[in-house]
Amino acid sequence: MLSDYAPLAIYAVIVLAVVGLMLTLSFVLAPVKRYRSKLLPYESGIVPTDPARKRMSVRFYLTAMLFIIFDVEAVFFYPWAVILHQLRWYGVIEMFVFMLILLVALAHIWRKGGLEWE
Amino acid sequence: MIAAAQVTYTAAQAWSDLAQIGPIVAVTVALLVAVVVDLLLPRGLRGPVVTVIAIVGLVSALAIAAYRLVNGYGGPAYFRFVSGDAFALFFEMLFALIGVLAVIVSSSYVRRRGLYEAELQVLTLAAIVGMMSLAAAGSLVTVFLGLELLSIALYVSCGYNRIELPSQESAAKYLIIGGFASAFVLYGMALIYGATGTTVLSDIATRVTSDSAGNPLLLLGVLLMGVGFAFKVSAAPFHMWTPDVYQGAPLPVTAFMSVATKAAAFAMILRVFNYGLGHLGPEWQVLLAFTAAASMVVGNLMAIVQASLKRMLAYSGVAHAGYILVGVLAGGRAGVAAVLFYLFGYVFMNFGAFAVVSTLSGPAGDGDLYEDLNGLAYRNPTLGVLMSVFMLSLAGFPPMVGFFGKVFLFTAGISAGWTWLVVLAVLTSVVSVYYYFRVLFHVWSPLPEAPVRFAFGPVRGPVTVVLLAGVFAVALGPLSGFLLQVGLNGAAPLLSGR
Amino acid sequence: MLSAIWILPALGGLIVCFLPRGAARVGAILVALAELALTLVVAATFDASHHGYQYAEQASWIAQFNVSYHLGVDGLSVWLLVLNALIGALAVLATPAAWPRASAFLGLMLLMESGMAGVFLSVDLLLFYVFWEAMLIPAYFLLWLWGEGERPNYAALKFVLFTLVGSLLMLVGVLGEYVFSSAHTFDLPALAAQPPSPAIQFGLFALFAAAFAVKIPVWPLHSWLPDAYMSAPTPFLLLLAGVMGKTGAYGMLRVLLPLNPHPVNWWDWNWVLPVLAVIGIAWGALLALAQRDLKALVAYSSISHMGFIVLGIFALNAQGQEGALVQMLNHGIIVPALFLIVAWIYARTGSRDRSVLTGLAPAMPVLAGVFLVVTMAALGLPGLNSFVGEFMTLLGAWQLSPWLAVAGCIGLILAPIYMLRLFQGAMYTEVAGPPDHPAEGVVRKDMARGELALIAPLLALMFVLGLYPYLVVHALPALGQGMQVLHW
Repeated sequence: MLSDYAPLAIYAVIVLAVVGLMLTLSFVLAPVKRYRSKLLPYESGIVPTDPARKRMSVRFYLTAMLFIIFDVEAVFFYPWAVILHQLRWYGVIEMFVFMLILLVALAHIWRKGGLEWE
Repeated sequence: MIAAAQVTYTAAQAWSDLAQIGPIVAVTVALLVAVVVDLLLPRGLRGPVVTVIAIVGLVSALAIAAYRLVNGYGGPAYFRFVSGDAFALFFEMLFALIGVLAVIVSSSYVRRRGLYEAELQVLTLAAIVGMMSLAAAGSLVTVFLGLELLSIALYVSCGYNRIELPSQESAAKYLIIGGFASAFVLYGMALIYGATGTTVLSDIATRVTSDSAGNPLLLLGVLLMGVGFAFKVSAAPFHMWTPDVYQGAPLPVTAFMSVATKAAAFAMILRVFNYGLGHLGPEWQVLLAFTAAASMVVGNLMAIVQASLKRMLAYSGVAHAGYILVGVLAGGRAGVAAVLFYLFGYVFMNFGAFAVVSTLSGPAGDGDLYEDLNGLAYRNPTLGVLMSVFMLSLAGFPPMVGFFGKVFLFTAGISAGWTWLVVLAVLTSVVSVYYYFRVLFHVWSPLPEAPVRFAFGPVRGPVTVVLLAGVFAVALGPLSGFLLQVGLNGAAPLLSGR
Repeated sequence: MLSAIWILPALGGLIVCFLPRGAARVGAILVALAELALTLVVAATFDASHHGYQYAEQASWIAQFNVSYHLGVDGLSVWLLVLNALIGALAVLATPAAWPRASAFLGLMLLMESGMAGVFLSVDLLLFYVFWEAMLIPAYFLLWLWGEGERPNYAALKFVLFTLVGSLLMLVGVLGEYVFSSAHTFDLPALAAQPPSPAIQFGLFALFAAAFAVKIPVWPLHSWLPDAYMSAPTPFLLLLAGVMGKTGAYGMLRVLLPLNPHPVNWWDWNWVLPVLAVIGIAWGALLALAQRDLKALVAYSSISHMGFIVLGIFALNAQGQEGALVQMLNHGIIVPALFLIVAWIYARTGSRDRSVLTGLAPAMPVLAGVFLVVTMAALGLPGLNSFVGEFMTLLGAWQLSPWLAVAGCIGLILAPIYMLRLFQGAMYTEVAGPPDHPAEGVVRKDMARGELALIAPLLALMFVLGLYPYLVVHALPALGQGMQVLHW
């Protein structure tokens, strides 16, 4: 029933109120001193050398993505290793199937030129 | 905790479990073989061979599912994380069928548009594996796995025509909105897990009783998942992405998404809401009733003003999502069966319509304006007549399948007391007649004086699909009792838990 | 036997669509005549003393919802089937060989005839609905692709949207009957035996009445009719005006009343419809008076006459409903004849404007004679068919409420005025001054033999039914199902 959602609505209102209150209070109460050193990116005194927004080659992202895919899938080896004794041969075969699929993916990336920098 | 559970897993169990997910295995194997073949064969052969492999894989999945459905279907497998029950088999057959149609249409389409063929087919196969897993899911984990697999494959497919700006826009929009939806669903699942201590749907079904309605964790979970699901079925007010994504994506991808994603998302809703959280019916029904009503009104009204066929069909898809939600709301065996029936029939009418439009595509682009259809009935009588059949079926005229789908949905709706929603559905579907008949108007209007932008090439593949879909769209009407029985069988596993 | 009645024109229509022009016309005529013969055989062998559906065919269709393929005829439907086949045959014959895209036109006409035959044959509510909607699709295409006038598209779409609002509401009603009747079936006799509670009936009645009232049409849902009739090509108009409007009235007798005998909750629906009918009688007659265009005049007079039929049905007594049924047949005979005459006058003079057409009788005496008979039939001269029906209808209405009957007489008074004014004006007024009307120069020739042959069966029936209404009435007591309202 719709009335069951009343606690949720109240909760949402409280969340918004608290967040709004915190932001407003800090905006109103915090001391603001606007002079040159305070407005620098690093308040600690380090002088910035160049702008923070740099253009990076898109190839970095590609490599990073490929790394993450294989990295995350390698994580599956840990729980598998823990219960390998119980899984016995079935577990071994299953893992080989899994690695085969990974290998197909790797071969695909390789042949399609995903690993080449240029 | 994990180590404490003693797992004994015999070879016999392994084989039986593998057989339960037979259709998924068939498609996965086809997918892997296709990837390897794509790497090894000479460039000219890759496309056709991969297409053949995809069709073989999908047809064998269809055969396995049909065989298992006829010879006593299975049940839970892999520690109840997936299931080979009649519900799963129904959807596996449905997805395999859509897959075959999509592969045929896109094979011809990419050649005419000068795109690379093999990878699109591989992506389609990946999406189908995801959809099948979703339909077979016995656990929230599997649900999410399938959801992501299908979504990621489709994000890439949408941007497949990557030199065209609309295609890029489509992919980017779908990725961002789809990511949002997935996050909502995942957050909701986490809360459900928090409230019940399990992700297995059958356990959730027993642990969540109607007494737990007051549990805020559960309610928040239902709310978040409901929003995510509504995104995925493109129900209003979470439908904003649909027209842009449908319009920009390559036509076969749009056609595939419009029927397959919708069916998969409804399979997910039925599994999670009607089965897992069945006792919380009153809670999620409030949300879905609102979404259903909004979808019918918004979808049908917005479809009127569109100039592009893809966008019109996108909005009409929103409206149809609204009708189907009536069956979800009604629940029970009749309601679920009606949903399954409608999804099956919807495939033929909607995919058929898209397949007709896809024959217009040439090197110059996709012809998806109403005007491009002018005089279709005289340029190509077969396509013209069948396009009329699809439009009449979408509008819900007997004796086409769309009519019987509506009859079953609305009967279930009225029986469950959703009469106001049914009346709204009926009134808004009168509105829908206006824009479906606008298509008829262009199809049957005299041949244009000016040279047509898009001529109809000799495209055998799509025409075959159109013919097939046309035959089914007409024949499934009078023979609807059979399909309804399959739907009723498919609905049974969702109700046995309660 | 009964299956053949709807399958024959359906299959024939599909085949005719793909035949070349000449063969299509011959094929369509053969199919239509075979259909007529088939219905006549059914009517001739109909057993008037038998209660229940005759020639019934029943087979399970969608077993899960107790939908069955159930056909049958009874005293209500048997003559309407014949009317449908007769008008269908005349419409096919009235289509000239040189008609544009003749094959498709004739094919669609046969398909529409098939749909209407299915409506009259169905004994299952869902089957009834399927045919009810199916007849709309060919009608839409016929009206749009072959329509006359400036905006056939507009007229066709208006017609479809009006009818669809009604019939989709009826779909809710159909499903509601299944859900709320304890019979849980779509079979009409079973549903009639176990109607839901009056409060439910009140709602269902409104849903069904909407569909039938649009189709008939009942005031104030009639506004599609002038547009549709004005732009309909003549052969199609014969079927549209002659038969399709009757399906609505038939639905009231077959479905609406038996399934919802007590639609009383906030008010009694059984009192609302006769009042609307009487308003429609006066409204149609008054607007007919104001028309200059012959076709529009006949169209509005049609609204007025259909009002009598509804009034008779909702008199809720034997005389009224018998009168309504007789009147359905009469109107189905007279209106096609009127539209044919209007079309012939137009073909000869190039005008349908009442103020332009004068003194045609000397040039075409046979047409004038035929027109005279039809005019007299339309205004209800005793001895011709319409008189019997209107008399019985008003007799029934008087028993319901004398006020309604008196108000209904307005239509009877106005009908001679507009009909005779039309006839005299067009045929016998002297040509005043030099003839400078647009008809000048057109060869005025009298009726061809083929045209006379076309209208002859209708003229014969006007006399036969006027002098011997027993032919139709005697079949009436053989009803298919127990009807709470019809005490025949």
